[in-house]
This record gives sequence, structure tokens and C-alpha cells, in this order.
Amino acid sequence: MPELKSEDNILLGIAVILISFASFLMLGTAGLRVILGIVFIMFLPFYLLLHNSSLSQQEKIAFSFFISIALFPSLVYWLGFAVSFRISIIAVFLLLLILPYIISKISKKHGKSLESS
Amino acid sequence: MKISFRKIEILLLVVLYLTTLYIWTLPIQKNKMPFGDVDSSSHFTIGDYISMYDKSIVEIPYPITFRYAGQNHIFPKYIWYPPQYWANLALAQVFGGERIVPAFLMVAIFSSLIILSSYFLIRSLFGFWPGFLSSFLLIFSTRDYMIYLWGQWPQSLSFAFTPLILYCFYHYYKNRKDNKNMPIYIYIASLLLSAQFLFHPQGMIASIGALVIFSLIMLAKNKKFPFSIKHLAVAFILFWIVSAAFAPFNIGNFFANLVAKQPANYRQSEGNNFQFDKLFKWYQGIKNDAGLPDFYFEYDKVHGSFQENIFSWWTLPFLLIGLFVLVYRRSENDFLMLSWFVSFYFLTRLIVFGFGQRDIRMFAYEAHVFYPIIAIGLISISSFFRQESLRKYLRFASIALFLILAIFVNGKSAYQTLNGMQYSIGRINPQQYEASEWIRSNLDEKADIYDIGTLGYQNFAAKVKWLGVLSQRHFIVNDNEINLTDYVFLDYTDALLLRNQDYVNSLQNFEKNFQSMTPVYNKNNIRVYKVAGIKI
Repeated sequence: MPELKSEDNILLGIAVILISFASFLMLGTAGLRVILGIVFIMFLPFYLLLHNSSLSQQEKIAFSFFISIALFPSLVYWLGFAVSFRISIIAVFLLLLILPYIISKISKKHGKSLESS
Repeated sequence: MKISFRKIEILLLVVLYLTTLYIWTLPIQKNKMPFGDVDSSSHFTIGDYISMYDKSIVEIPYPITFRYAGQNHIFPKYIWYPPQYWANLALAQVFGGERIVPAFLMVAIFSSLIILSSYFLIRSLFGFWPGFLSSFLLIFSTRDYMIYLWGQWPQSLSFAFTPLILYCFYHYYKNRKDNKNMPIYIYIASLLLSAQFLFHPQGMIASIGALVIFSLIMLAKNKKFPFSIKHLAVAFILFWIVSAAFAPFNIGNFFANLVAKQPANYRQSEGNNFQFDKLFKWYQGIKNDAGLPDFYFEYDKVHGSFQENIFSWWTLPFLLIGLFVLVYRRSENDFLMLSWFVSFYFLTRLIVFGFGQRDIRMFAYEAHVFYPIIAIGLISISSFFRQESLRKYLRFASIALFLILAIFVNGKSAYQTLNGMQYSIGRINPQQYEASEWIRSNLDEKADIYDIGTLGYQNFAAKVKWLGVLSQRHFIVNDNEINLTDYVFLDYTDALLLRNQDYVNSLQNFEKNFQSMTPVYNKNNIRVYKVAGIKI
């Protein structure tokens, strides 16, 4: 799995904590839960997916956030016809968490990265 | 301890976003009831069904078939927009564990995302201060927060993707020019374009417009295509696959609408289609538009303050200076900005060329283009002077001036409007919400309800539509549906809140028709009568 110990990630973590706290102060538990849901369930898998690319840290954060708000609900919505919507959220989240690991294995095996193709 | 500028930059960005979150969530901080006009309730309802019944839906639920069935021309019974925005609201409800606040927080976050995406692009093109200042001004953008309050939410989110797409294409082009192969940028751009399509195609059209103009300028400048045909083909295929896979019931409808002929009666009052004078008037002299208020086309109000005074015009000189600077410098980043500006100009006056259905709504992203140019104009003033110390001094003085004017002119106006929304009588009140919950739990799913008393019921207004989506029942808003009435919803709450005795008296007179009946619901000055078979 990608390493998450860079200074940028620490700053990102502090930003998330501050925004979550502000959201809690303004809108209570519901506000806090929504921010945490967006960050950890929607954004994080896509961030890990882009982590192996040669994009800059800021690019990874920006692109993965914007892509996640389009693709995560898409996947959950369509799977939501086969299983319950809540189960679909968990299934898509887990699937996306595994995907970066699989991609990393495949690209190592083939000795090439996504962006040089 | 020495703190690097990078850390200060991140700190300022966090402060920027916290300010955004505070300002944009003002309408829901003290009042937890829904708000929004026209389309807002319909954007809420599909996600609400999904999370409430814990399954995805593709067919339009009965209560809103009366408003939206047939809008998807190819699949008339199916949802009229791609489901992604609504699925996000369902996700918010699941994450938040509540029905209203989580969905509205998600809407606030999405509607204000342009502030972050704009920063990302402008920071990369012109440096920190233009990026920070333009995003700071965007927090108070009347265009953007009014669209948020009105409820055209998917469109708002879609426009927020444009800066990222421009960023991707620009970096793809720059790398290619430097003989570095980075197709990932154009692939990500195509994914983001798909996202725009999934949320609202207007944003996608805005992005494509800017990209086409930028490509043409770069082609003319370098005598070379700014992209590889192979990369473009792959990006195009990727766009199609993602769009078609995730919105299979809507993609055809979009293209059908795109090629459909303009309705014969569309803007008949404006005369013929070729109105060349509109090329020379920024706001085209629009007044009394059926869908948008007059202030939407007044520069001082939409880019200044509702409290009209001379300071409401403060951004205009900087905008003109910014445009002059971009044209004068003509570096590649300036061309990208100019391409965005020029495409905006053409897309907002498509009627001149006979494609007029959506051009007025394109004004929605005016601030996204203007505010970076305003910030560039302001920052550039110091460069007109030769003396280095004076330049530095002027630069920080102009930044301070910008922040002061942004806060005390635009910010004050934005705060008053968004804060005032908490107390708006136009919002559902707790008594109405409670009644809608009772209806949802107790009346038949296909019950048709006629509302008398809720504010605006005479004018098919937003509150009645909100009652419909909150109760998940059909609230009648068209005269030709009155004979379907199963229940009458008699609502005194708005009349009492307005302390309007005439309003109360007229409702009491109407209620005399039901003297012999026992209401099935009678609480908080709202009564519901079962009247099936009785002519209203």
C-alpha cells in the first residue's frame, strides 16, 4: 500500500480535522459524519488509486476528490440495483481500496506505470 | 521556529475553506428545514427515495411524474438527469444519519467547490495571491450563492469542474510542448468532462468552449496541434465509455436535445434569432426575464453588493485592467484565461447565432471567469512601477485593499443574504415538516393532495413542491389535476406567521366547506381532510 507519512499528508490530515471540527460546531454530529464520510469513504480510495502516479501531491488530492464525487456515487448507484444501497456503499468502498493494490501489482509485473502508456 | 511560505499558504487555504463552509452553511445552521426554489425539491427527492428505501431507483416516483415524466424524451418514465448528483445526496443522508442537514451540507459543499477548483487553477497559472484573492472573492459571489439558494445545484457543481479541466489540458499541452509525454493529464481531463456530463452538461459545454478556443490559439501560434490525435482519441473513447456506462438512460436524451430544433415560440417576444446588438451589450439589455430576476443582469449587484452604492462597482476597473494585462502580456497562461473569457462571451450570446435555449443560464459561471481576471488586474498594478521597493509596498497595499473591499462590500451583502435565508418565510416550517412526515407514514402512496394555505399555493410555488417531496406524495400544483384530489391540506401556519388576518379569514371561509367532516390530521394549525369524490 502507498506510504502515507509525507509532510503533505500530515498537513492534509490537519486540514481534515479542522474542517471536521468546524462542521461539527456548525451542524452537529450530522455535519461531522458527512465530512468524515466524504473524506474516508469517497475520497480516500481514489486518492490511493492515484497515489502511484507521477502527479504532484496537490494534483492527486484535487483530482481524486473531484473524480470521487462523480465515480463513487455512480458505482454505488448501479450496484444499488443488485444489493441494498448501504451494502453497495461498503462493497464499492472495499473494492476501491483493493484496486490500487491490484494496479500496483500489475504495473510492477509489466514494468510500466499508468502515465507512460 | 521558521515557518515556510508553503505552510503559510496551506494555512491560508484552510482558513479560506473554513470561511467558505461557514458562510455557505449559514442557511442551515439555525434552521434545519429545507430551502430552495423551483428545481431544488426535485434534486432532493430522488436521493431521498434512494436512501429511505435503501435501493437505487431509475423510474420517476409517482408523486413527481406530474412534473418530470416525459422530460427524458427517449425513456419517458425514467429519471430526467443522470443520477450522480442525487446519489451523492443519498450518500450524504446515509453518512449523516439524518434526512435534511446532511443533504444540505453536501449541497453547500458542492455549490462552493468552485472556490477550491478555481484556486487550484489560478494558483498554478499565476501564483498564490491571484489564486487566493480570486477564490476569496468567489466566497461572496452573488451569482453562485443565489444559484445555490434557488436550487440549480447540479449545474453549479458541474461548473466547478471547468478549472480542473483547463488545468489538465494546459499541463498536458505544456508537457507535450517540452517533449514530455504526460497523457495522464488529458485522460483525467476526459474523466472530469464525463463528470461534468453526469452532473450537468452545461459545465461540459463551458469547458469544451474554452478548450477549443485555447487549442485554436495555440495552433495558430505554434503551427502545430496542441494535442496528439492518438491521445485525443483515447480521451474521447474514455469519455464515451464513462458517460454511457454511468448514465445509459440519459446520454441519448442529451444528444437528442442538442440537435432538437428550438421551440417556435421560444423568446418570440425578442424578435428574430439574429440579434446582433447583443454582441455589443454585455448583459444584452435583459429585463423581465421569466426565469431570472433583473438584478442578475446588473453588474454592481452581482459583483458588488445589493446595497447599491459607488463601492459596488469596485471590481470593474480591476477587471478591465486585468483584461488589458492579459492581452498585453499574451503568455500561454494568459491565453488560457482569455480563452475562457472569450468562450464565455460567445456561450452567453448563442441566441445571436440561433442557438438560444441555454445562453442566459450560461451567465451562471461569469464570476468564475471574472474574479481571477480581477485579481490579476489588481496584482498587476504594482508592476506598472519601476522602483522595486515601491512595487513591493504597492503590491501588499493593493492586496489589503482588495481584502477590505471584498469583505465590506461583497462579503457584507453575501452574509446578509445567506444569514437572512435562515428566517425566510419561503422555507418549510417545522409544523409543515411534521405534517408532511405524518402524510408519508399514513396516506396511500398514490394519494393526491390539494394544498390550500401554504405560502405561494396560488402560484404553484416552491413550498408546495417541497411538501410533496417531503411527504413523498403528489401535491397538486396544476389546475388540470384538481379533479384527482383525494385529500385537502389546509395550512394556516404561513398566514399566522405573516400575522395576516385576511389570509386567515379566507382560509377559514374555505374550511367551512368541510364543516361536516372530521380531519384525518389536525395539529399545529394544519388540517388534512379526506375529500375523495368531492368536487373542490
